[in-house]
Amino acid sequence: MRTMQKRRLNKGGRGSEITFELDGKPCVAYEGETIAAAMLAGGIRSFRLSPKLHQPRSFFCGTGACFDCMVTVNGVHNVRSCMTDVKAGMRVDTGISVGKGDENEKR
Amino acid sequence: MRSVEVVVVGAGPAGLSAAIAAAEAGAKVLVIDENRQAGGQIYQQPPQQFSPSPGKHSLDHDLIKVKKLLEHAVSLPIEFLTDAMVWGIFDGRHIAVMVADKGQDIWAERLVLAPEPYERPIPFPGWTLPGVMGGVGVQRMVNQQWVIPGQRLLFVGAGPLQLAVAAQVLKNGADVVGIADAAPSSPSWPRFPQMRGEDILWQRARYSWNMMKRRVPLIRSHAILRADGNGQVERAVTADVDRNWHPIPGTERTWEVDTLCVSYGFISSVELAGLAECKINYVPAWDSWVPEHDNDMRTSVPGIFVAGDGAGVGGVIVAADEGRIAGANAALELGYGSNQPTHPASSSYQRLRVLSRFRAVLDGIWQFRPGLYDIIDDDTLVCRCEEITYKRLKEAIADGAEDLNQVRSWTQAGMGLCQGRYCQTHLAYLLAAARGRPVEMAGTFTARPPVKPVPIDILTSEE
Repeated sequence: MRTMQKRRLNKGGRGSEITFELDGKPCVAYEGETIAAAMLAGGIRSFRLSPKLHQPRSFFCGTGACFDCMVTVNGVHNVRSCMTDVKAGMRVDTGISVGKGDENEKR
Repeated sequence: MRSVEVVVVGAGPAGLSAAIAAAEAGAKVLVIDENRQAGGQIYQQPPQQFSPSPGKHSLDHDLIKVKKLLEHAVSLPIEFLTDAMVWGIFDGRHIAVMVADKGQDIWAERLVLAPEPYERPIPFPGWTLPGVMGGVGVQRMVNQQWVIPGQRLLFVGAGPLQLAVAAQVLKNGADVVGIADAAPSSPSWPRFPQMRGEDILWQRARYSWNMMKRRVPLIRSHAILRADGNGQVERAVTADVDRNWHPIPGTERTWEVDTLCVSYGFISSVELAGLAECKINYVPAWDSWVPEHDNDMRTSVPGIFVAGDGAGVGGVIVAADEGRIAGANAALELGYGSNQPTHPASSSYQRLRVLSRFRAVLDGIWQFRPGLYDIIDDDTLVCRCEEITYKRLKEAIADGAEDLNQVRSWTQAGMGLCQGRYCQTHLAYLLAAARGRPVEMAGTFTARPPVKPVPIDILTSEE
C-alpha cells in the first residue's frame, strides 16, 4: 500500500494543508491533525525532556491520560500534543524540560 | 449555576445508552465528553476535516452498534458538550467543567458516570523510552489520524485488542515483527455464540488473527521484559512466562524494533466516583478498583449512577446495557417513564444476567496475573511523571509507609501530572507484597479536584 508521505496513510482526503513552526522550522500538517500525529508522521521521537533526569519522552498513552507527550505551544508549556490540534502558524517547541522551578532548558 | 435533569459524563456506548434511555423517558439530558467527538474509545472517527475514501476502513464496519447509538442519540433532544473536561464534583452533584479553557458549573439532578477505562500500566525497564506506546494510542493514531507511529512494531500484551491493532498496522504497510500474548491459549471461539455474535472486540480479534496468522508469529505465554535503546526504543526483550506470568529464565528473545505496543488490559477510571465520595471497592478478579453499585447501577451516593467500563471493564455490550439501566433509573427517579407497564430497561437487565456468565469466563482467560509486576529493576521509573525509581519506593516501604497516600507524600510518587493513573496499581502491588497482605490494603490515592490538571484561570472564570 502506498503512503502519501513518510508515515501518513492514504485513506482519503485530509483537511487543508497548513504550515506550522516546529522547533523554529516550517513544517507541513493538515487541518484536523493533532500535534502528536504531525510529529509522529515526520518521524520525530523525542517530544520533551523529563524535568529531573532530562530523558526523552514521547507519545505514550495517546488518550490524554499520561501527560508524557507534552510540548510547548505558542510559549505555553505542558500542552498535551495528542489532544491538541495543529493550527496554521502555531509555534511548537519540543525538548523542553519544565518543572521543579527550573527555567526552560533546551537540549 | 445552571441545573440539568440528567448529566451523563462520557459519550461512549455506556454514556450514549444512558442518555438515550433518559431522553426517551422524557428527561432533559446533557452529555459531557473530553474528546472532540462523541462515540468513546472504541469508536474512533477521523477528524471532521478529513474525508475518508469509501472502502478503506473495513475493520471499522464492526463498530455498527456504536455508530447506531450515536446516530440515535443525536436524533433526540440531547445536549452534547464535547472537548469538555469534568475536573471536579462538589457538594454532591455540582459538576465543574472546563470548556475551551473556561470554567462552567452545572448542578446535576441526576448524574451518570460513564468514563472510559485506561490501559493497565506495566512498568518495565525502558518503558519511558520514546517508541513505547499503549495499544489504544496506536489504534487511535492509525484510525483517527491516519498515521502509522513507527515502522517495525512488536506487540506485547494480553487480550483481544492487540490482535486488532496489529492487523490494522500490518494492513497499512508497517512491519509487525511479532505478537506476544501472556495468556496460554486463545479461547475457542465456538464456545461463546452470544459473545461471538455481538462483541465487537471479539469479532475483530478473530478476523485479525485469521488475517495475520501466516505472516506474523504469535507467541503465547510470552511477555515483555524490557526495552533498550539510545534515546528511543531500538530493541525489545521478551520471555516465556508461567501461568502466573512470571518470566522463565533462559527463554529470552530480542527483537529489533522502533515501536513497542503494549496492551495488558484495562482498568476502570474511578477518579470522578471517588471525588463524588462514592464507595469504591477492589475487585480481585479484575485487579481493579470499581465503584460499588447495585443491579440498578446506583452507587453508594444518592442520585449518582455508574455504567460501562467505569463500573468494571466489560466491553461494549455490557456497557450499552448498563447505560440503559442507569439512564432509565435516573429518569424514573425524576418521575419520567413511570407510566410504563414494565421497566423501560427490562431487556437490558435480562441480557446482563446472561452475559455475566460469559463475562466470568472471559475474565478468567485474560485475567491479569501479577508475575509481570516483578520485571522491574531498581532503576525502573515506577512513577513516570515524578521519575521515582523502584529503589526509592523500596526505601519508603521499608521505612514503614502504611498505604498509598503515605507512599505518595513521602516519595512524591503519584503527585505528577498523570495524578497517579500510571503508577497507582503497581505501587499498591509493591506495598501489599512487601507487607504480605492483599492488594486492597494499599487503598487508592485520595481523589482531589482537579481530577486532571487545569489552568488556574478557570477557577476564577465562572459562567
